[in-house]
Amino acid sequence: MPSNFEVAVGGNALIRMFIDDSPLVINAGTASANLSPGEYVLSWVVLGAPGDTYSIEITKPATAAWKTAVTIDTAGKDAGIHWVEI
Amino acid sequence: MRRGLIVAVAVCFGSADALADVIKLAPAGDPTLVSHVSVPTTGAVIRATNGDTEAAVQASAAYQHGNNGLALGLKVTGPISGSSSTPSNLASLDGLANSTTVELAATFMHWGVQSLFKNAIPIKMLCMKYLNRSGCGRSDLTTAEAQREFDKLVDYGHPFLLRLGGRVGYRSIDYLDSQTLAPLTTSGYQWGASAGAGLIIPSWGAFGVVYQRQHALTPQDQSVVCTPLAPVGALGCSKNSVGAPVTTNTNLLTAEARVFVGWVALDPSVTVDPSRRITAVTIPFYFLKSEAGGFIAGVSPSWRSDTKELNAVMFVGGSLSLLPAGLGP
Repeated sequence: MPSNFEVAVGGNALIRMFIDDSPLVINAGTASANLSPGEYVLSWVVLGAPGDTYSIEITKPATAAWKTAVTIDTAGKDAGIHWVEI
Repeated sequence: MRRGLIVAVAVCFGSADALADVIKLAPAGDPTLVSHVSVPTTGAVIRATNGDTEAAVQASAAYQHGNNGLALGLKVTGPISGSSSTPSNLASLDGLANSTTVELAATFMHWGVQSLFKNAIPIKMLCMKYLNRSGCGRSDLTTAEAQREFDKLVDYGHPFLLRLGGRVGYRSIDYLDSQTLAPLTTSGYQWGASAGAGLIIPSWGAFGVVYQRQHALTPQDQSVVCTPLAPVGALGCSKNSVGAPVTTNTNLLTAEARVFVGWVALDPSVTVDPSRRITAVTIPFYFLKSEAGGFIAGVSPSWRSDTKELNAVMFVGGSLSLLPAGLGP
């Protein structure tokens, strides 16, 4: 079944992403899942050196389009959540 | 005290698209290709002193599955100038530095981290409190207090890595027979094996320890040998090893740290040879960054206790990363 939720991931930091409690496997800069209609939590945890970057962009569905791009500060870490409506 | 200037140039390159993608997304963790606790990455480096020049080229491949990653590296290291019969001027305890060696290394890395889902509501409340929106990242929060509150809700985990390496080389040593002073050559295989472990500590850096066992063909100490020149009593003198080389087995212990202090980075390591009571210290200091933000250049002083030799390495090349290649997006 084709996925209805896709995320493009870039940058040079180490990142783990989840949709609710399920890990999103990142393959060649893209992670995807097939989700039932409803509200989900996209979350991520990032480690890297100061100056490393990462970006996360929801490319599918178009109605949930969203993007963040971050340069990691001297803390060497980042994390966040984004609520997604499918 | 002996001082020398070493100039090192490191160049990172990728081959296959997949590997290039890995390198792009998680840049080289060890631009000087000397760390035994970083994941193998693709690159090349030249290290040179007045007397010796050493080059290393490494190809790598990395694979990731879930929280686990595996990187393989094949590295060729060897002197490209200087005599193979004399001790290396490079201030390290590497007993195989005077021969061309081939090393195969494998690094396993694990980073177990939990979803933020279970704390989604507290994080949502925190985002509402400071930013008046339902979702946010730590980097969106502008005060230290808000970031501290955020960090209490997140488990960043502690990635760790295990590395195993095997190395083999072939060396020829010229020497003078101790009885007749006739010039002779002995050749033989040398090998080394290493096992290391490292831990990445968010907000601080990384720490690792390595054990190395080396079996090396070692020349005798050099002596000035003078022989009469025909026909009159003049002497011709030269510096040579007198006596056959010996095989030595060496155990080396190394502790290495990778620390990011503001916008500079240090990658110090201390190597000890317990049986000979020799210590070598290297402190790569990174202070130049690429446009993409990674540390790419700096200077690396090194010193060893027996020769009191102090060298300084300048290098430029692949980015120093907290995290090794192959485990990025």
